[in-house]
Amino acid sequence: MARSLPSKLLIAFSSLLLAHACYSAHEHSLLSTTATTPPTTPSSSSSPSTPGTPTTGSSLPLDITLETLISVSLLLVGIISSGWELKPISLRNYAGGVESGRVLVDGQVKRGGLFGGLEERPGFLDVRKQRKEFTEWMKVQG
Amino acid sequence: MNAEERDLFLNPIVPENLIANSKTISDLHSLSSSLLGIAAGILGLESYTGFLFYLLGTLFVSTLIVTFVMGGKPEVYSRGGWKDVIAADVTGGVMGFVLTWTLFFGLVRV
Repeated sequence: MARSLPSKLLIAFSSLLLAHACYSAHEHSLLSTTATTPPTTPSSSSSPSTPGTPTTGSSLPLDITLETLISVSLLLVGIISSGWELKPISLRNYAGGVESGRVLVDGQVKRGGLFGGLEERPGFLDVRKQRKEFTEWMKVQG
Repeated sequence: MNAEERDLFLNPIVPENLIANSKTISDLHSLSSSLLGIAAGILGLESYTGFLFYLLGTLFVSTLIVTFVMGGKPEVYSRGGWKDVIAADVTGGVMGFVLTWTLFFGLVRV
């Protein structure tokens, strides 16, 4: 699995975004639990009937929601597009791919395809030559 | 010899590749389901909404897998095609999802 540079960048960027969304959600929940009293800033023109912010605590602002959703989908795209390799399951497809070099076996092109071993036949042994080599080796050994 | 046996006889499959592919797909699903759990925890989803989110997220992930990893041809890489990709490792995925969901729910909401 070789990660390409764009997917690496995408993963880095979107995890940063996700961490920021998590932090802002945490800050928002802290704010909404501590700021139970309405803000007492004297504003002359605003009507006193509407309080400053609704302190429900369970509802996130829209931007944090969007940030979370977008960062998670980008992260998923980055992870999934980072070079996962599957192999064709039908023997016909797989063997053809291996033979033509499209499909790699253990990371390298396999010569002769899946059944290349059947094509290899050892030649005749040159017994005389081997005997000569052996006697020379014996002489060298002493 | 019934129809399925004859089909296997005519179009033989490579078992190692089948196993390796399903392992890769279930790896992707478990990884992405824990990420979905993080999102659900941050969003503060509760009960059925969270599981609905997981369902939608899994569909999204399956679409991504079929598009990016399989190149739009799921039947080449898994026996069941689409259905196998969606239904790969559902129980393990739900476990990872609930784990990170509760963790991040607790972390964010103090």
